[in-house]
Amino acid sequence: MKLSLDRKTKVLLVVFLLIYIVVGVLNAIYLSKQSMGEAFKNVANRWVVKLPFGKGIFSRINPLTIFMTWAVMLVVILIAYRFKNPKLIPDRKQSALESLMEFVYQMVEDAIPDQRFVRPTFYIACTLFVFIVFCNILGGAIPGVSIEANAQGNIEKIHLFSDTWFSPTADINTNAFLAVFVFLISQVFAIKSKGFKAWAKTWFEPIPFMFPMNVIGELSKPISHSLRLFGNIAGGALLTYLLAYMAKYLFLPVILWGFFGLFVGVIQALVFTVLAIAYISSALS
Amino acid sequence: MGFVELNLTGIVQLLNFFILLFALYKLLYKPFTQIMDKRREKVESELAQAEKERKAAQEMKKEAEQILTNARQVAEKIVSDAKQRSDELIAQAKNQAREEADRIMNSARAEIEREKQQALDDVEKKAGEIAVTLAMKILQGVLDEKAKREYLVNILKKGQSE
Repeated sequence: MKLSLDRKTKVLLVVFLLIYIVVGVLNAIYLSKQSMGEAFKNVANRWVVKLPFGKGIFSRINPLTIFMTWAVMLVVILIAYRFKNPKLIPDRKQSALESLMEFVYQMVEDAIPDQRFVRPTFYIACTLFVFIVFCNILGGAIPGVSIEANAQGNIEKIHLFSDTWFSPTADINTNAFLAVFVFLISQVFAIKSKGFKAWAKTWFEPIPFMFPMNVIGELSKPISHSLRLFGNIAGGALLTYLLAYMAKYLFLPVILWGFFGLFVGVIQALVFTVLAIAYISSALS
Repeated sequence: MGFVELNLTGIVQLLNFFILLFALYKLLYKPFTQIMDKRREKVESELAQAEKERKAAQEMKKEAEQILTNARQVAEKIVSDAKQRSDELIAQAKNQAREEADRIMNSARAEIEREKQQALDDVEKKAGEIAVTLAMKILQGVLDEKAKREYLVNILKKGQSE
């Protein structure tokens, strides 16, 4: 595919790359002096802010996750806004977008037995896929700004281009709540589709004795669903950080590793989406 | 802070997800599903139109074939009529020719008969004249038997040559 850029975009791209390289090199010189223990002492910490209201865990929030989510949302919404008025005869970009949506729609249509829930499931599945794919690529393949926090959750250092951006899907909160949402919506669809009595009966099948097993089986779905994505993306981020340290923060290996991050990110987004569709489908069937 | 810690972020993330879902529904899914439906409708209507036109073409073909069959029948009828007419004309002409021939033959026969009669009349007349002349000669009694015979032969030869 031939990439055609206008003059303004080319200038902006060159300026961005220059800043990127200069900051990256300066950062690498500064960071390469630290020891391994110093470099890795905070990898398991998150930047957490305590809110003036709420109690316990409900008073704590991870601002980086939310900021990065807003950034991803902004990018996705801007792209969507560009295609607000689709043409009847699509151009190349619209065709690509349509192909992606057709791909998800086809998956949903093949899996969902009740026609009434095909479109709502498609909206959920497509949004999940787009959101997670952008988050994963951001965290797995693009070097950017990341924040190192201490054990108390306060900011200790800000890394500039020596690590990838922080991915919202590397935070269990995002994945867990999305998985719970998928679980709840699948049960709501099941009640709507079968009726409450028939839905309740499915929990006692094939014999009433199996009820606890069914509960465990159903509840394990959102847990495995969320932890799978979290493990892959958070683990990928750790590996990237490790690789960056080993290469003395020269970002070339990070960019090369980014290719793997890209593939892992897309595959994990697809896995999460396919599982969401499968859970909704199994609840409906 | 903890690597795996559930807190208020999840709820905010869920809200963010709903906002994104709503925005994408408004900006992307709704227009795209509409345009896809429109496209499907267009394709279906064009297919229906094509089917209709195909049927019309088939109908027209059938009609043309019917017209052709009719034309062929008319042509065959014209040809057979013409043939019949020509046969009639030929038969008529043959009859006329036969009648004319008969007529010519009859008139020829009548002419022959007439001329034959006339020849007979002439011979009769001549024979009469000869008989008269012979009788006159006999009456005159001047001729001997030989002379009479020669004279008679001469007269007869003369009569024959005439």
